Amino acid sequence: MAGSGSHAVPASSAAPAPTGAPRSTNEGSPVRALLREVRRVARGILGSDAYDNYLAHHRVAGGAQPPLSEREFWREKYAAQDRSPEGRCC
Amino acid sequence: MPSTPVPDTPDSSGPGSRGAATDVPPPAHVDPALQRAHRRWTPAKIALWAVIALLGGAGWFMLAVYRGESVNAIWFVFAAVCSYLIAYRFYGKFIEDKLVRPDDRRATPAEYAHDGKDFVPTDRRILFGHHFAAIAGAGPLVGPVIAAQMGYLPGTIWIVVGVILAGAVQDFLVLVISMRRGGRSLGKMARDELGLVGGIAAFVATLSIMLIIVAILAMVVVNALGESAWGVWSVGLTIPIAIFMGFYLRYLRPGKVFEVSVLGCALLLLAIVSGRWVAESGWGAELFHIDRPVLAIAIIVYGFLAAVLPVWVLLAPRDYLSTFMKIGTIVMLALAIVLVRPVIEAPAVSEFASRTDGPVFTGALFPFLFVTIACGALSGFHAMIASGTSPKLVEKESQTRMIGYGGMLMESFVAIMALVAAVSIDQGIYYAMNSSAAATGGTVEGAAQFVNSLGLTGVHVDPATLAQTASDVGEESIVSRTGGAPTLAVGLAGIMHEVVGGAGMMAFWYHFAIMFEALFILTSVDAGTRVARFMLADLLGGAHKRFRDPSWRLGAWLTTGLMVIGWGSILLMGVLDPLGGINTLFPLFGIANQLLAAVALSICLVVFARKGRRWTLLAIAVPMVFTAVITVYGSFQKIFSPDPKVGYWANHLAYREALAAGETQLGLATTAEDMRTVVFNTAVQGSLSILFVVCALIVMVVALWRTVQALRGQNLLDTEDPFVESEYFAPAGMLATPAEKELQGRWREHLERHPDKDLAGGGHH
Repeated sequence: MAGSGSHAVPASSAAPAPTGAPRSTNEGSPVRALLREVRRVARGILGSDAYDNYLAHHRVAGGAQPPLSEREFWREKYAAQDRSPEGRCC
Repeated sequence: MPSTPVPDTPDSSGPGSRGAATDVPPPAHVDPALQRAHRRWTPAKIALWAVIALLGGAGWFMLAVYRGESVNAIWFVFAAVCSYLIAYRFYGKFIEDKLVRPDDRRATPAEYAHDGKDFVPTDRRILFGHHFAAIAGAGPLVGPVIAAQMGYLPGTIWIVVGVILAGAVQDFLVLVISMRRGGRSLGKMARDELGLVGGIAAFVATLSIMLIIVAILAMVVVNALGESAWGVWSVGLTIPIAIFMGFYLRYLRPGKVFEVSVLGCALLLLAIVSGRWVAESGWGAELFHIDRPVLAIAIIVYGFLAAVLPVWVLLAPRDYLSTFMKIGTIVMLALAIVLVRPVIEAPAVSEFASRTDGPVFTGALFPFLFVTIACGALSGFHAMIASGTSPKLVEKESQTRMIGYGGMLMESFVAIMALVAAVSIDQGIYYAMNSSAAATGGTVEGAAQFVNSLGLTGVHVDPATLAQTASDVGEESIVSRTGGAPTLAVGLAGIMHEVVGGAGMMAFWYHFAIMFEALFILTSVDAGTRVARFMLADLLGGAHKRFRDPSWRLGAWLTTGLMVIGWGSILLMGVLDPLGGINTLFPLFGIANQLLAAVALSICLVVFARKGRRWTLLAIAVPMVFTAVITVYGSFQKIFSPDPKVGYWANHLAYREALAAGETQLGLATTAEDMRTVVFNTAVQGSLSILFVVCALIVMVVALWRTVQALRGQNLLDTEDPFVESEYFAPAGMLATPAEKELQGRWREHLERHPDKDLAGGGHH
């Protein structure tokens, strides 16, 4: 993982391991691993990981510009949602 | 966006390159031979499936055949869950192998159009939760409650069998065809596959069906909150709570969605608890005791504002709250049913199953049971969700069974739980709550008299019981609280207070249930209004280009206003209906939703016929024809039935003639004014029935014609996106098989060397 270096990803935002080391069973106890997994899935379902996904894409696609800050990203995301709404079922 | 990953070694993947040089990526799918080995039957597996089959069989036996003195709710859980497991493993797999034929060498839109925003390869378990949260709302909680009038068995059979053969198949296939087309919407696919006429009919059907669904959901909220100070206070507070969350996310801590959701949830509980103090104080009771017509207008105004405000203010934060509550409450309710194992009060098949004049909804079991329970068994609206967001997030084609088919099975289980909650309350209370105010007079005495006069065996209620139940749940009255939500709330309170809080917490749990249903519905109301507004803007854009510019405020207000007037007028009509509203309009909701399902299945039929499938098309054609029959026959009865209790036009004529004869009362309408209202309402309802069925019939006829053409080898359009070789791997099911784990390990190593290829950004899980 080519480090998001210049870009401060807050430690709390669960972007998994900064070194690209796969999360694996040898980090801490199985209970902690399970809790981490639950947290990751719960954040994913709520959509809290959108900025992490964006950074990951930025890293892979390697755009010329530095990535948006977290604040800018969320503004842009809600603006996009304003332009194309998603349905919710009954 | 130049984000499509260009494979630098075009011939790299495929089974042939396993274990090749370091720079060649591992294959994008598990070797089929290994997969077959994994699926081989072992004695342990056979024993496991035999146990599942036996448990499920025992559940069905207890529900359908044995039906002892008292049936325990735990048998519903066994019957449903074991049926789902068998269906997922065998029928879902059959559809996957014979009809869908997923190809994991093919990149999904999330991979080839990866943009980090809309197109993101998403962990299958996250996407499962995400998809489920998007499809499940108040629908599966309401329909089964209303259908409980016919006893628990017809509803249970339809919910379980319907989902297995129809609902889950539709969700699965729509997800697949949209995924193969870059996440294209249902409307666009209808245009592509059916041509102009079919496309327009599908458009009109979708837009009008959306408006009626929003209107009837809003009516459920109005009925639940009318004359309930506690309910109005706690549900009303969700608006400032959501706005607070919106500002928190915008200005204080952007992106901390989980944190703000926990905070919002705590505030929500506080809003529920504080409702008791407000309702018991003189000023609170006075201020928040609001009549239903006023509430309806409040929701209409709210719906307009919520749809024109930027999403970050209200819609997005409330959606987080709703998702949080949805998953939490459903897990909680499942645990509570298993722990409490309530005893079922309703008969397996009630007297109303063979009659057409039930007080909760009218019409015979066939077809009206099948349209009353829409969401939970088969919901056409899901086709709008399954074509849209979810297909842009799927990592591998073979995951679609878990997400599409599996997600719908989960929703069906929610419907079963709602049914259990509704049939575990006393039958006398059930009928007192669900008969229209015109029948009960709105008083406990009138309700007791009406319910006891129904002449149902074993159903008897006295006014004191009704008054006591109302005071237990912290309401002034529970008589004629139609719409399903209050009944479900009484049932849920009856189950939950035995786990947490005892009798003193009944009122809390009741209002908790009302709150979470209202939360889903309000989210559906503004999301639905927004989607409808964009559909209308797109249509008007054909005449006046500027409508397609979303930043044109006047256009946005105009289109939103039109859509709000559309559903708002139906809502007001239902709320003011002298005959009760829910019992006349709910069948229209079900018919609309099922007609949309018939439309979606028709499109799937054409797509797979054009892909060269033959006999396996029956897996689509059978549920499609069944849906077509129940909805067309249901509409036919609503339009042509000479029985005024069933047919809109028969009722219309009966009231018109009575008015012409100078009468001032007929049936439940007691003034000439009311009678004129009935004449108008039945004309609107009858016209909507005609509109829906005509549009859906056009779509189905065009689809059948295209299918026959395809079977003869004519007009074989290929509307799929071109094949792109996948350079990505993820397991297919909830748990990875040994072969998948091994391949995942090789991908991890590969991506460590090539972090620039790591689309999921964080390794594979």
